[in-house]
Amino acid sequence: MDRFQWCDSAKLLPGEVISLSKDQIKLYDGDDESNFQPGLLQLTSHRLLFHDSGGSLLALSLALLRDHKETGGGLTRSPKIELYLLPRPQGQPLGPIARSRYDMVKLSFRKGGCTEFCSALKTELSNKNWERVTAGPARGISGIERKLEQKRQDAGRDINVAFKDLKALMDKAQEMVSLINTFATRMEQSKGSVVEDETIKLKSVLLSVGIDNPVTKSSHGSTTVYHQELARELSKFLVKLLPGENGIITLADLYCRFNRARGLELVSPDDVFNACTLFERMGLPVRLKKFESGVLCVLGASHSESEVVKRVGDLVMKHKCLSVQELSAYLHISVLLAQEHMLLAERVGALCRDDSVDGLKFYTNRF
Amino acid sequence: MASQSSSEFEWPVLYNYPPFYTLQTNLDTRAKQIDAWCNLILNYFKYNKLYVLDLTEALASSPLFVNSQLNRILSRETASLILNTLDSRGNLEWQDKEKDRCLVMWRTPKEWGALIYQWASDNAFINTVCTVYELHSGDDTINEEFYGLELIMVVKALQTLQNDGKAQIIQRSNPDMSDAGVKFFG
Repeated sequence: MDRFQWCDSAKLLPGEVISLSKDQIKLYDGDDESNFQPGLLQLTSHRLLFHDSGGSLLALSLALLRDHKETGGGLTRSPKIELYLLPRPQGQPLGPIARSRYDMVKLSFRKGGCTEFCSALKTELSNKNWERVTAGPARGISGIERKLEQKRQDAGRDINVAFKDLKALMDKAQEMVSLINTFATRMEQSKGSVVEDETIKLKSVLLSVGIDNPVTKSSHGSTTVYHQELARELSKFLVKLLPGENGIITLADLYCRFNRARGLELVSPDDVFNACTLFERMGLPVRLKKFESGVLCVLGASHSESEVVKRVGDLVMKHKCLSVQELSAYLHISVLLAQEHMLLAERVGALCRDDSVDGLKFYTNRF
Repeated sequence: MASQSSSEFEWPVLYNYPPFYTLQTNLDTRAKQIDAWCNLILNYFKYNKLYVLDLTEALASSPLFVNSQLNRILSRETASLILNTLDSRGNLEWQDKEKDRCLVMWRTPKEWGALIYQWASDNAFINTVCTVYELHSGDDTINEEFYGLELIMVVKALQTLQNDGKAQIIQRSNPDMSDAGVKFFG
């Protein structure tokens, strides 16, 4: 409380602006109640001004604020803000209290408005208007340098704030996954009370979120072990996924779906690829296949080419001729995969091509 | 030359099958496709009694390669591939280095030679001299299949007979043998 100074008049400093006023504020020196009567507290761009009901005026420069914390009130206690202060600057004249054992003062908001005040304070603290005035008008080279320095500091601060948020989000995400799982269990139990359609919808969302305990690099030290574990997880994921995809999916699609299912702890394309190359060696029920065109696909071990050829062949027969795009639309598969299917069917002699100005079309082989 | 009769020519089913005009990438399918093209070209030439194919011209206008109904044209590369296949089978002979003009031999020179020799022996021309002109445009051969045969084909046919010792070509002044004569041996 020894950082406060007496003020002679309520006159503002040059460039100072009042941003918020709150009445019925009680001042505490640390944890001890101060002798000042509850009064009007004004937050300006430079200072905190306290008009005690006895008529005296105290000021605390915002530059001396190190940190602040809002402590919620209870039934019998009013909400407070704790202001942590920097040491008293050299040469500052003594204020109303010469010495204090605390580096902290508390503001008690008897009539509320604590949160509002807190956010206003935050804004003022980040604006740092008091520095601008004391720095004087920016003139000459030193002025430019000062400006640049200022900008650099601002940027640094922004980056810190941004990453803090991101980290908080990551922490929350883990909680979200477990929360969703709880919902899932609860839904199972209370079947019937929710419309069937909605249940299915939510379940599909859950399914694509629901890898509870993702394998991460940090949890599995060496890369080999990591890739093996990842392969196991991928295989488990694919067994659920493949039946809905006609038993085959391109590696790129798999990568997207897999990362979406993990939600956080995303894996790199390289790691997914490396894990996929281990499928066969590890005896998992899925395979990585490289088509002649270089396209990589993952398919179930029981996936049969002849079945694909038959399905594509029948579809082409039905429509007389099909382009790759049309096939992809009929089978609900990616264009890339449709092309591979067509080329496969052509390679075994079931289809043949017609390459004209209308584009490439495939016909039933009549040669 | 005989385009008026081409309308009566019965096109094979594949002629109206669009993939017929795209060179197939599957080698088995491609072999069948080229085979079908070779047969079509030979049949078409035989039906219309054509012997010389000008590739540039044919790709521009001949219904053989241009299917206006389907809006498909055989590409020059594919056409060349097919003609070269015919060449390797002995049914075609290139007339120039650029491989643009060729002789389509829906009957090989040997077969023609046999036909001519048959006519000569049937009509008692053995041991007598005939002119080459007589053979392909004379009054005596008007009902023969080789009537109207390209001069160069007649000469080739006679050469096969000469190689077998069944005839002797008597060359005169013209280098293209248009005034040559031939003597058949019994």
